Amino acid sequence: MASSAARHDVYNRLIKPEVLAGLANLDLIARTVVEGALIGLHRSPFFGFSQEFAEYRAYVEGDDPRFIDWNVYARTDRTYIKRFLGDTNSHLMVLLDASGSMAFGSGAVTKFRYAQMLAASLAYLATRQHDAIGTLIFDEAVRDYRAPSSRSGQLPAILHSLDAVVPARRTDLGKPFERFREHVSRRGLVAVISDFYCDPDAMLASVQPLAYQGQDVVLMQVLDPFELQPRINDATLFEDMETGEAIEVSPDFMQREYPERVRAHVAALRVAAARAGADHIVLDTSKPLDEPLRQYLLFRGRRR
Amino acid sequence: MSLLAPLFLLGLLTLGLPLWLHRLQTQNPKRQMISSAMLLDRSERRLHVQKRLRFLLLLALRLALLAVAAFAFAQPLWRLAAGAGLQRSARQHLIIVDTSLSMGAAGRMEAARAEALRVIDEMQSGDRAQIVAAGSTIERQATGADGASGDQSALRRAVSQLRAGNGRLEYALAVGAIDSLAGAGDLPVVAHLISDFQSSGLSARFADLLPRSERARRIELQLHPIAAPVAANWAVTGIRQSGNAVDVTVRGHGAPAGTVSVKLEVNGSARGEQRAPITADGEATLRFADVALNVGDNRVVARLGGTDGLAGDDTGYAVLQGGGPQAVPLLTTDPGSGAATFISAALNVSAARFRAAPTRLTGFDARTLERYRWLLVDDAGAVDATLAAALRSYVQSGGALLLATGTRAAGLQTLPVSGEAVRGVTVRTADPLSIGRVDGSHPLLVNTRGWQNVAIARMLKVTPGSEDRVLMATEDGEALLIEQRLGSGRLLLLNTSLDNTWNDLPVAPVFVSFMAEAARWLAGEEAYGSRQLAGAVLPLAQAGATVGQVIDPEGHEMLSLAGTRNAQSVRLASTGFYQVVTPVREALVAVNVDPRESDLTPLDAATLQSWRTATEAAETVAPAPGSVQAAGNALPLARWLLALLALVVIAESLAGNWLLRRSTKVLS
Repeated sequence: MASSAARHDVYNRLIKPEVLAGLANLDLIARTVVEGALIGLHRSPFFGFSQEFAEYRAYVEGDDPRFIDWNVYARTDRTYIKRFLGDTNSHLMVLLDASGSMAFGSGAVTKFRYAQMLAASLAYLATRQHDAIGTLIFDEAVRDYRAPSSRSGQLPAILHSLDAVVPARRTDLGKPFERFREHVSRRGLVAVISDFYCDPDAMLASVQPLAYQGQDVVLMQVLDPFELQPRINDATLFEDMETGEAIEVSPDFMQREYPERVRAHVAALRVAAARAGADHIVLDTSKPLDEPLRQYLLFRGRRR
Repeated sequence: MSLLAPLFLLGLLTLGLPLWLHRLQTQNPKRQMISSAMLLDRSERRLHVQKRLRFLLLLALRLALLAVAAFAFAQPLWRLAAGAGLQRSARQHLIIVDTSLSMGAAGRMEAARAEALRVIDEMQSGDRAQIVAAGSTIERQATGADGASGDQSALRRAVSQLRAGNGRLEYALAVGAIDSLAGAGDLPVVAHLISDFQSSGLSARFADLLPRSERARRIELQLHPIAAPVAANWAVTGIRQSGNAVDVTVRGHGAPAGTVSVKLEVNGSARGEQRAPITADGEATLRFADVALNVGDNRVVARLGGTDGLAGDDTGYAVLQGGGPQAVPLLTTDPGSGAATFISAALNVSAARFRAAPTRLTGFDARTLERYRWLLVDDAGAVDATLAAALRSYVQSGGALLLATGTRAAGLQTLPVSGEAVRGVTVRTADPLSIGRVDGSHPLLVNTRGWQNVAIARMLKVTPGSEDRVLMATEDGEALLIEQRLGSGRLLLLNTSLDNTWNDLPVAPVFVSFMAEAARWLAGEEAYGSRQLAGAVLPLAQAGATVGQVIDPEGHEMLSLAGTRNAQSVRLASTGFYQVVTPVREALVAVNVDPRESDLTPLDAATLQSWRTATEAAETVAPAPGSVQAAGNALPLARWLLALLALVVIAESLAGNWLLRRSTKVLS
């Protein structure tokens, strides 16, 4: 059995994103990715639906008063929240960047398609664990918003909304994140999937209020292999997919200096994320999707 | 070949077309989308378009094809050095030697002759030449039947006979005569202008200095300035009568300040010598006071003392009148009439050399008519038949008469003397007539102005004869002033009065000038004039009239027996006094040198070089069809270029085909 699971694991790990992208059904993609990722994992104490008592913790502003343990309050004159295992991961909000830059892809899978599959996988994983799942698709404004819910019809609706989006327009984290804060007051996990071609300080300014709100934020930065290590042979005129700005660059610049700039940008984002209390994950669109799912689960486990 | 042929060189502009076509292979940088340009360096090279020329061999052939075609249509000529290429053809040389007065300066004529001989020496086998003396006239020297000769000894003889004259040479005149001097031959013409090239001989229009050919043949003009020093020169430029004194004007050219002396002669006898200081290049007037002149014309000669650069202008000649104004009879019924007063006053204030002598018609002796050069009658109606016949005879024999009309002429049917019919009298007292037409070409009226202000209240309506010339007419077309040819004399008919009863002419400003000009014309002074320049033409004959004789300054009769009847003019080649004798009068004409010849300053080198350059440019005049060989030293390249064009076309086709096959092979 163990050897069969290992083979299955290996099999799923070998499913390249471009193969997954060939599947038209996003539900099938998500199911394939999640099932593949979970097979072989030992049962984790971090997962599973249960009403088993987990802990008390002090009430903080923003907690639902319905979960205050009034008995404790009567005895100690302090407000405590009674937490169960099932309550610790019941809320996942996926924020998907659908700006024009996400349409870039040097191979068969664009960054947006990869992000779509990732978002669908997260949604499927959350549903499978009976977590409430919601999505917010944005570019420079909010294009689609679905409030977190654990109803049975939520996953198909989310998959449908993800599938219907076409990347376009520019990126602006400010307005969508502000609206998100207005709609979601309940604390939970927030996964932001984007290429994050923005000023790290601007990103910090948008994400930090979420952390202040009590959200556990993970920034999933999706990058194409070409962006990480570009290779060109001749002088090339690069056109910005969002602004249309054209700049001609030399091969030497692209192969020597540009990767350094990307690394510096990623590092700056990581620092900014750390300052906001958020995690930062860099995803290579050429890599299988189970790897980011694992990193997500690790993140989820740390944030319990 | 057309003069517009060089415009085909504009076809070279088409060279840009193949260049453009061969650069269509554009290598733009590869265009690629990228998520964001925020991490790209803006200091990298900006967008540029790099184009490369392709198929260089084909391009070169195509460029050559277009260039050769353009040059071929431009019909270029290859100018060969003398003796190179084609056989050099014979040429006709015109050796034009300046014989104007300035060439009389020391050494100039000798230098000109030497230069002419040098040109003759350099003539080659088959060349012909003619010697031309260019002064106030352009004259071929007798060297052959048609003026041109290949006989060098004859040419040398002709050169040796050249002498400086008294006339003035205008270079434009000499250059303009080249084509006609060259005759009808087909030989290319080389004109050699040998001169001191005085700056005063330059014409106002530089274009006049370039030879032109009516026969479209090639004329080459070569300038041969003679090397001659410019010596100081003084010249007598004027002799004027001022009361009893005679003023002589002397002017210096390139001369330093100093003192000039002038001796004066009147009718051959010396009348003294005067000295006066003169500034450098300045002018001095020497006055000979109380010079007694004879009545009538006096021959006055002023001679400059000392020696200078040019002797020919050291003597001046003038005809001065002595004895005061000549009396002209004014035949009138009343010597105290208004007409007599107005006419006398007009002649007195004008510069005319005549004065009116009012004489009663009844007391005038017709036998004395021959004493007078002209006379006036103020009222034709008062002339009786006897006097009219005498006056007619007088005019027919060369006399002159101004016949006006007055109140007594109102009833005439025909005018006396002239015989013209009178149709009545026009009376416009309430609305006077004005002058409608004036014949400004007539010498009598050419210098009169202001006729439009004259009002005519009464006038005779006279029908002019077929040979009469109406000099002036009123606004209604009636003849007011008529010139009638009567024999060899002159008759002026004024069909209104000379007082202010029928018109306001006597009180109009034009009256004075009219009387002065009428006096000059009736006296015949405009025909000859008393002052002329050497080289001028003196008109002699009036149609059909006997002209008499002209005696030159040396006392020789200039006209033959036949010439005394039909000669139209004589040329005043010498300086001095010419005596013109006609049946009715005798005139004296003083001939002087042109003062512009006295300035010996030559053209500056820059101007001379400009003339040479312009002349060389003008030599590119297209030769006549078929005369290419005659041009001799220009090889047409068009046919060779066309052959080259054919070769380039073949090469271009072969190269294009080869490249096409190679491209097809690569694709397959």
